[in-house]
Amino acid sequence: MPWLERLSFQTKITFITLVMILLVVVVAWGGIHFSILPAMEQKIQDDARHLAGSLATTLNSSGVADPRRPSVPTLELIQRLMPNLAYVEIADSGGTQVHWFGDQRFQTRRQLRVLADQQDGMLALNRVEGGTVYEVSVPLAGRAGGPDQLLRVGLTTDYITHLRWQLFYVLSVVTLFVLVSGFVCTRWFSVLITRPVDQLLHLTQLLAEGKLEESLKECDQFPAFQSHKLDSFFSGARTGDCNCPLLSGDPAEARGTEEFFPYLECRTCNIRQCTGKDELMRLLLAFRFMAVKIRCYREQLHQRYQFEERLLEACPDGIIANNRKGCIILYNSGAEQLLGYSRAEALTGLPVQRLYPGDEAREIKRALLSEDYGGRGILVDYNTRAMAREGKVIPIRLSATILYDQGDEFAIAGYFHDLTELEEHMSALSQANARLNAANRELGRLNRYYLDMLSFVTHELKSPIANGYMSANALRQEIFGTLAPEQAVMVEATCRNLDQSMEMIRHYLDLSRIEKDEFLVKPQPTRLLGEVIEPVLTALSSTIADRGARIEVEVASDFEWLLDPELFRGVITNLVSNAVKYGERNGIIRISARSLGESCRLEVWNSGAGLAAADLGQLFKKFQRLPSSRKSTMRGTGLGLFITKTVVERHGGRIWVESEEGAWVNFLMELPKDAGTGATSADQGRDGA
Amino acid sequence: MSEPKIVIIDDDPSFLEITGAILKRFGYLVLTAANTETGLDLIETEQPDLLILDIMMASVDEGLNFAVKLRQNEALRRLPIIIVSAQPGTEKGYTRSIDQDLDWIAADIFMEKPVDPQALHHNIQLLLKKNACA
Repeated sequence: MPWLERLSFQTKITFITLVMILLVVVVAWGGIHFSILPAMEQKIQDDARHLAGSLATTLNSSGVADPRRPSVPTLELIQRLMPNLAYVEIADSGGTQVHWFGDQRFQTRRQLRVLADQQDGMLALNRVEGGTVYEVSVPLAGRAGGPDQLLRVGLTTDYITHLRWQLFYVLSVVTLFVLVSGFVCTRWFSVLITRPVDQLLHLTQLLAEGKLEESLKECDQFPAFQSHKLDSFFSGARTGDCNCPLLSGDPAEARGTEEFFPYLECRTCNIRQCTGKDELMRLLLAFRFMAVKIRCYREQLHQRYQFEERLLEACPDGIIANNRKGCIILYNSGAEQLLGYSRAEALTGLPVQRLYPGDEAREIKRALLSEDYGGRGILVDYNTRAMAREGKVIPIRLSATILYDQGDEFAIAGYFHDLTELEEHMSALSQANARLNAANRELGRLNRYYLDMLSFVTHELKSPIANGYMSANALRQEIFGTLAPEQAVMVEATCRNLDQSMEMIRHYLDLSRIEKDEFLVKPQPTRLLGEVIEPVLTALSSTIADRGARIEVEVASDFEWLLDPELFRGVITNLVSNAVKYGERNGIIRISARSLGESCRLEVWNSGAGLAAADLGQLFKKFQRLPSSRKSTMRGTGLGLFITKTVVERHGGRIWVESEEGAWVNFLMELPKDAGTGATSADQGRDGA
Repeated sequence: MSEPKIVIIDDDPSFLEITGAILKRFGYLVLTAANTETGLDLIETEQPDLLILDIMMASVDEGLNFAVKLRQNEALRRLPIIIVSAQPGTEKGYTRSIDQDLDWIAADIFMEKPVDPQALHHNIQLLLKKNACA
């Protein structure tokens, strides 16, 4: 029934309740009318039959003088016993009344309606004004040939009629009472139900309108949520000392309790059981929890939003997003600074195409949809140009992505990095680079000049010094006659100085070649003893003898290795010279070589002062002269070990030094078997050129 | 027996002077020239027993070319030559040093400056004997 559904809940409940009461009353009245009253009328009929039968029997068998006239006292007795006895009539066969006893109202104006005509008598309903009578007619046997007579007994239904009216009155009063009290109760009960529902409805409407705080505030004002009531509600039901944060409604406390859902699962307060079966209470609690959770989520969302907002604002780059129609929907302060449009301008209909010069926007979209810049829908580090409000074209690096919603493109977000400063820096860098290149070229020119000068000077020096060396040696060798002792000392000193000068010149020439990358290595199978060590020892024999050094050579005569004999003669010369110069006078110099399989080990060991541990790492540096060597009377260039190291490394080997201070020094070299492989790179380069 | 005749060709007058003096003390007849043209004339006219030749003079390899030219001259190809140079061969762009390339360099002995007088004398004697035997 739609009209019923449209009614308010209260009216609906009241209406239904009243209808039900009325139905009960109707049913009760029907029961009385169709069951109780007919039973009572049947009783009257039965009583009438019984009385008529008894009277007839009595009259037929009694010895009454005038059998046609029952005695009045008998009838009065019967009437006292049966108050509803209306009359007793004896009539003859002609219908003439012989005897009448009873209420005169029924004596005339009969309206008989026969109900049943049986052998023992006829039952008829006699309605007269003022009452209704059930009449039973029984024939009486005639005496001594006299005429048959008819006995009529009438019982009134007056008390039934009276009872009917009494019942009606009582039922009406009861019905009225029940209706009124039902209405009142229904209204009270429906109000009890609908008030919280109305409140919930109101709260839900507030929630729907976004008035969450107001909703929670009103929720707190529910009588059920007054703290004392709440406590009493839960008293005895809580299984522990619970302080359900969601019950308090404080989102700060509720934060972090996402896994804690008190309405359903609070393990401490067991609130689900506390609420029992009171659906309204559970509904209110559920609503409250829901509202608190919503407030928590809103807080989180708000914080998240604020964080993202700050993040967007903190980003120095421009961040812009546009929807499918090309309208800008996101525009941060970085974009404001970059492009000059205010946020209000950008977000109120500024087409994104305006941010690019010419057809750049179309090109960007094409690039974004291609696979070339990080995949379809992605643009990574795409260098392009943007156009600021005043028309200024700005170089930018753009990274962008298409945002999809359920498979449909709904926005494009882009990150604009201003390259102006970078380009300025690049330009400055390029200029600085050009200046550096020019300076480098100049340095190269100067270096070449220096190397050429070094080469030229040393070479030019070499000839006069060589001449001096030759003439001094001629004098020392007394080719031009015997020298006086003082002359011999002078000539010897001259020769020594010229030796040192020649060594310096050789070192500088080697340095020049190394620096000009003209230091060529030509490894070849070389007998170490015969081709390298012995020539060196021969050349240095006089110096060795002067220092009284004892040479021990531990090299097999047939020991052969792949190396450049000329360069290694220089290496051994340098190491043995150092051993002679800086080793102890009359000390031991040991030269050894042996194969280690894939490499060979060369060692030049000498006894002497040794080297401090701190000096070991400095030895092989260019122009490095150690304190110990500076103390020596011997002069050096500080290049000997540098050149030695270069030679060894150009053979693909390595050199290092070990020493015990105050005892000995040992220079060790390891040369690989394929010493020549990487050694001739400079040479190969030249051949290739 | 006359003194062995030695021609020295070098553009360094000091070298000529010193070496000449030393060799004279060793008993050689020494003739000197400051360039290869004068030297060739001297060789052709004096028929020396040995030639001491510098490499780098007017050009970086003048001495070497001159030695080759002598070797190609039938009359002079037997003249023993000692090359004396201040520079290792690599400096002049040769891929190998001169003493390693004596098989193609037209000289009998290579000596690097500064030269030891006794060693020079020894080498001269060696070559003179060798030439005499030949």
